[in-house]
Amino acid sequence: MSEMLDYRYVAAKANLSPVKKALLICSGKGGVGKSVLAASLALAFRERGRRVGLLDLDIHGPSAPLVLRAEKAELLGGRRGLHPVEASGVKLFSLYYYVGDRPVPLRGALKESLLLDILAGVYWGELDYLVIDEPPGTGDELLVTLRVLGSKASAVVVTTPSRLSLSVVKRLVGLLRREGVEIVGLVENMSYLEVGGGRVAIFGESRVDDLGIDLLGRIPIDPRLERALASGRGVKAAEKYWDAVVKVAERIEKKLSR
Amino acid sequence: MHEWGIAESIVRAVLEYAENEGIKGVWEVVVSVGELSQLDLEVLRYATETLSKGTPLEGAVFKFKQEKARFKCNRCGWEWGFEDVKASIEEKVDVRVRDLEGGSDLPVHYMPELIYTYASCPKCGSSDFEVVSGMGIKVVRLKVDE
Repeated sequence: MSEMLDYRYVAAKANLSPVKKALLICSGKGGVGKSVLAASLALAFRERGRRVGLLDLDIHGPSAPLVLRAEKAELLGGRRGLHPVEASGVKLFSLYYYVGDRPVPLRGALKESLLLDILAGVYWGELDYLVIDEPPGTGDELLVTLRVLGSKASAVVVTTPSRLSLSVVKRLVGLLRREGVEIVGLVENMSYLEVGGGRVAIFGESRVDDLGIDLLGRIPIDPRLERALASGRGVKAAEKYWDAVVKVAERIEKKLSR
Repeated sequence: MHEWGIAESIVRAVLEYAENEGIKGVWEVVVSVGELSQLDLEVLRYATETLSKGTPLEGAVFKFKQEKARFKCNRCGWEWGFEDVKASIEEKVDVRVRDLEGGSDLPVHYMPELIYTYASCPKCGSSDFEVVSGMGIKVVRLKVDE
């Protein structure tokens, strides 16, 4: 009776019931720009007038508050649990607020338990989209969120054109298909660099067609992105990056509305 | 008052379990509450019994028992309790969650696993320790009519 009587599954379903769609932003490998993309997509949906939450599930390296320029916030709790922080109109939950730069040295079962605490203990209210920044790979974080969210979850897969990233993405896609998760499409990040009016494919030519998933967009390497984040001006100051993200957000909504 | 939300979910979880298992009546629900959660057991009892009214659980006795937190270091073997480290955690951790109904709590009240972030072995300082007991909230026993 252990899982059936783990009140957190019941609490998580109740807390997430006012959320219309959970968008899992997943990648096979780390370092493909998934966290920045997840936060940017949340912002883009907000600018399109949607009610948006961003759940930063990267337990070992939470970073969403840095991208949304909301590093300091008052933490609130109430009868329904923890309240997300408001950041640029997006409701945000990130462990960053609770642990700062301290390590979170958790092993498998404990990680799963912490994820259940978060899914059960954060009250989002009504949302059109809950964007979930999943850690890379096919580990506990992804499996637990799929178990709790069920058919509410759809996935957006992020990769770079790198052969290494693509080979691991195939495993991720295999898992998502096996679990019956709708894959909205694929985003090819760091796709190219614009130099002197031309495009240079830093990681080689795109091979995403091999995966058999709809391409939601190719996002260029924008040298201004790092500066925009470091200076606190936010992702919108990196125009090429932001324009590409907005187009991806439009395509996601178009696909979900079919 | 996080306790009310937890109580509501415990009541729902027991109701769902009883229905799925074809249980006719539940007379007693025993819940183990880990010390790390720092929950008010009396509030939990009152809330579960109040929220059970008008449901098939009405009249059931809810018993909440605190499980003391014990830790064991995997590096040096030292064993200790929450009371040995609580004061130092409260002193060094500057993060608090303000309760909208009054007061404030350490984050472990909501996420007990974060004890691994805030605590270390009092003897050797390692973060590689086990929580032997006292983490989480579990329904450990039901007295029922089959």
